[in-house]
Amino acid sequence: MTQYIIRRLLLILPVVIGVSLVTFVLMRVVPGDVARVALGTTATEESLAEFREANGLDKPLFDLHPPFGQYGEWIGGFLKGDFGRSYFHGTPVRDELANRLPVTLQLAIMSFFITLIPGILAGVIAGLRPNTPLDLLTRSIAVAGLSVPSFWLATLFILLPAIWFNWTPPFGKVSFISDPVRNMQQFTLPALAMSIPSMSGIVRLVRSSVLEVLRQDYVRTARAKGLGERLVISRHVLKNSLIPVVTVVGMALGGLLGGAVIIETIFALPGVGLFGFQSILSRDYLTVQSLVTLGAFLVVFMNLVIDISYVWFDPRIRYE
Amino acid sequence: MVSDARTLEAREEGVTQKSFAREFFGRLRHHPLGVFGFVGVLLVFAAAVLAPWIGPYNPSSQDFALLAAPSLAHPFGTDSLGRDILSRVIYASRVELTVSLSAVFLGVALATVVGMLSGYFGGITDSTIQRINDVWLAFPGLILLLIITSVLGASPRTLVIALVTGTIPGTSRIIRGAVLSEKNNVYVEAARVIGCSHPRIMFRHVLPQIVPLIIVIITIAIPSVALLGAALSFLGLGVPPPTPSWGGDLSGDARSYFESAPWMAIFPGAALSLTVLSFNLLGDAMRDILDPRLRGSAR
Repeated sequence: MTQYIIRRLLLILPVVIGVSLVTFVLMRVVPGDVARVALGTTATEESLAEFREANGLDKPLFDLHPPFGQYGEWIGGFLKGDFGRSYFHGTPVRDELANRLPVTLQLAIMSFFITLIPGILAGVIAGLRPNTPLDLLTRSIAVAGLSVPSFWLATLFILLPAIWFNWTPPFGKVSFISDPVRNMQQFTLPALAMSIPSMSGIVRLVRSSVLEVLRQDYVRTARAKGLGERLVISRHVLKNSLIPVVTVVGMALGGLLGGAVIIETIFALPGVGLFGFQSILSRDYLTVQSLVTLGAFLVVFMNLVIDISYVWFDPRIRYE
Repeated sequence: MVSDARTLEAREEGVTQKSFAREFFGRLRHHPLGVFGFVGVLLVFAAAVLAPWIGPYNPSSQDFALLAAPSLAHPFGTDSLGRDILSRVIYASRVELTVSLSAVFLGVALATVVGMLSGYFGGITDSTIQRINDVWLAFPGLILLLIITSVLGASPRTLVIALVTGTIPGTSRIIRGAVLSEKNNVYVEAARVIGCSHPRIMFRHVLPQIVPLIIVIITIAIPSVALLGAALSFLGLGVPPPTPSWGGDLSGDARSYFESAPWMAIFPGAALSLTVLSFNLLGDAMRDILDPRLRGSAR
């Protein structure tokens, strides 16, 4: 097992480097001059050249000699925790990301709970009583929730309170510690819009998983030996039917950045997702490279966590 | 002799296909939600094909009534440029269906080829493809698609390319898994013994075995790709204005008018949601019917 974990950890590095390389190349095949985008059309040739030199854009992309071109210089710094400077803010990329991380993190934590608690509850209830009116209702709501795009939900979540109650989420991001009430007013609707599709997915997953587990021999055995139904459900059915949820939740946490882009853009929340999106549009190379590479690390790391947690949840699984 | 066998084979295929369709629709009757989905999908296709005849106005022509509330003349109201929203919603089904379906079919077809090559040949082919897949799958969600569309510039063609790129890695990995387990069957060995070439074994012997899986993958992919494509249009990196699209009509300058003209926000989103819902319901029913293992559990 230890060997397995070490091997998997070693595999993370090449994958993450691969992602950073693809991003580096993709960002640079775009026609157009970053200096021109950053300084505007009125900039003189002189200032353009100055900008390129200051940001190392005049150097070759790849080079066999130290510092190994633009890519080598950046990845070398990146691995040491220095992500470079943003062309547009002129500040270290790391500080810009650190400033915005709390917003995305809070969205993630809130939508984690909004997704899981009602999702698992509804899924278990529906799965234990298949084909009852309650089950049909749950399933219909779940398939509807899965079909509604989160960007439309978010749009309605802003629009409808504005029309009905003349209420809009307060502007200007406030941290939870300084003003919890205001903070919750800002974050509840975005977190809800972000969670509804994934919650619907969890409901369907848990329901079919419960149905599957109920058919297993060990459930019949547990009942046959006279175990009370309550214990059968809590000890045998629940524990086993929640295993697939781990995968989905882990993957959702890994891919968090994507969902954050849409929700943060609509609610104008200054998080990492919105920042990444703006950086892609403005071709802020180093910011995009750093953010995508960090995001990829999160994805790969979460996949490893999922695989390891399987051993804990399901002792039949062994890795060599 | 060979041609005889071919025609016989073709005839048999025709027969099984016919009875397959009959059996499918026979079973579908027992899935009321599936029927609902089927009708919904038919309606969307009808809207796309018949748009010039059923759309009351040209989707780009402007009326003097700007931001007009829904009325008999404009059942869904008009937008900030005085364009009829009902007509835009109907016409948008064209680009949405074209983009989603071509992305799914192209993506799944390429993924099938990649997955089969990887699973069938194994060895260095397999490990090379899988390492590339690892990198592709490590990109966080939407981000790779955002980079691709922003690099290539917003257009329906770019959108298809991005969605195909997003479909291939995960799908090809599923196909690879199925091929790996098919490959060990006796019929593959038998085909090899009588001298069949690798492409023939792959496409005439292995591929038919995984067709049900491919159909299930397609039914899952259509609604999710439609949502993804609309999200990219919404972010301004998909179908560019003034082409009517459900995602694009909810974004950009239009948003500043939503509060005074909520119908601008409601109808395109509702059309998209109902379309995706129909594909989801039809897909659920198809999965029930095609996968005998699950039969009875979801009903």
